[in-house]
Amino acid sequence: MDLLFEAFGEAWRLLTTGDDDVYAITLRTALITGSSTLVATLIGVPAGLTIALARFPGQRTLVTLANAGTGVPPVVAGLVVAMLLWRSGPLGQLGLIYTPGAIVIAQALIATPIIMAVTSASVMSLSPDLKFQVRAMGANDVQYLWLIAREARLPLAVAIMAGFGAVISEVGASMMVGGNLSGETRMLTTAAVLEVSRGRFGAGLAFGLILVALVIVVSVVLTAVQHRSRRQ
Amino acid sequence: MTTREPADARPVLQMSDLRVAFDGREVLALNDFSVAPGEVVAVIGPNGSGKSTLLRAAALLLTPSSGRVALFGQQPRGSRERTALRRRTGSVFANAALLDMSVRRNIETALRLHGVATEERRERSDHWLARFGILDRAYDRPHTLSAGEAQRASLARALAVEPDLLLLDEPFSALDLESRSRLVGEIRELLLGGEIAAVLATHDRTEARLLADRVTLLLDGHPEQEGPTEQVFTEPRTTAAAAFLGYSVIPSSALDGAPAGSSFGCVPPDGAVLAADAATDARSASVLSVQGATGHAQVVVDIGARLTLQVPVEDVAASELRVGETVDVRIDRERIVWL
Repeated sequence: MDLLFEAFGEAWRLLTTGDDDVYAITLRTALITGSSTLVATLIGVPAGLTIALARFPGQRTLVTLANAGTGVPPVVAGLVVAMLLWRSGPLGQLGLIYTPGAIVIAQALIATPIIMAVTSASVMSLSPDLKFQVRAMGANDVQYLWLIAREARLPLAVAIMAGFGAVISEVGASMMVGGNLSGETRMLTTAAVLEVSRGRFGAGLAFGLILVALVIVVSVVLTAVQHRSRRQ
Repeated sequence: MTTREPADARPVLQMSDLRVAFDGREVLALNDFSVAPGEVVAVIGPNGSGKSTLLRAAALLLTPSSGRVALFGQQPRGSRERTALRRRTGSVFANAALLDMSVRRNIETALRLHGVATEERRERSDHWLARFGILDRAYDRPHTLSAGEAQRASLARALAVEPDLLLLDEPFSALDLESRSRLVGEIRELLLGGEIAAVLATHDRTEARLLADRVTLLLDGHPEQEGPTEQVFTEPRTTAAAAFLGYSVIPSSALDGAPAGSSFGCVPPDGAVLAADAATDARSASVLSVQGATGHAQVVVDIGARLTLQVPVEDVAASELRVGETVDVRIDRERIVWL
């Protein structure tokens, strides 16, 4: 019991006294996970719309792959990106290994199939008549995608939230491609793992609480967006 | 509807040797189907007969297995031409298919896709909302509308773009009887103007008869009979067509006065009545079923074959007609179509 009280006490102190390290790690985490979610959204939403709406050979295989991709362990995604970006790897000359950029790539690899799969499932569940109607109204290809995405905007917000949830909570890929370097690639998750391994539960708990707070803030914002669009 | 004589007789829609198949199964086969400017053609048939497929092919919304679809004399090549031709049509589906935005924005979105200037969008959307009596619902979202209001909004959206061809896919099927009657009347007034050509897919014979200049009856994806509306309804050419049109198809052997060579006599829905007394030309029959219908009850009797009679509901109620009861039936021989 004492351990718990001490841990909460330490966490409270770190969170309220303005510890520079804690704020830097929090900011870095927000920037990296925000960037990887943005990249995954920019790839996953159009890809999900395309596989849901277009007709092409291998479409079913692609849907299966996207669905399977939602279950890829972060460690495996990290391993693939690490091998690609390793100094002697095919993309080694980019010098990205152990940088925030490498973490963004690995996390985008984790989040993209999730966003793609949820997007395609939500668009596929729209009424076929509605899709025909948008075409029949005279929408060109771009207008068609835009209007269909607009119709599916609420599940799309859920897709983005799911992608963000996956990347902000993962440790394996960030550790593997980022190296958990102090002041450079240390994130809330990797920092929490490190602190716990050192027996500093208070610091670990502080990082964990911030992580939960970040997830809540993002969820609140997205839910507010959902409600606003509902009201409109 | 009266047949109109448009100045420009070039078809607004022409389908030739059209074949549509889904998963290897042919669902529509039309050798020739055309709609002249200002003409209203009803495509009738039971569920699954290919009506919606025909309309989707007409709206260039599906790729046929073979054949040719030309809109306004032009067979589109590529996505851009298809979009340009679709913009000269207006489509209404059975379930209204409104976008999740206000009613007015639904119409304004369609107008925006057609390149209509911002200031004109409001004017046109208000005009059509007022025309269909739902201007007071302009700011409401689709889920707050009744089925009738939603279908009115969908019609307003389709008409606001001033289409040359209106494609109506069972537009009244989701409506209650009263809304349906009113809307059919409003659409009839609109189409009587003769400025818009229309294809109406429906399984409702009354709607087709009220609205269309010509009728194509589809059965299992094939045209069973085509022609001017009244001709199709009064002169069915096959027993399958007659059965869909509501005729009782009876073997000639079960009817008096069958001409030589005829196999069946087709009695129209109003071609037989319950005889009040045992008149000389009446024959006795036993009641098989009594079913409710609009304004009439449908009484099915056995005269050696099934014969359906339209009987005023008050007569059914007054006579307390029951299944198994023996009644006298008089068939108007002049109205029998012999096949």
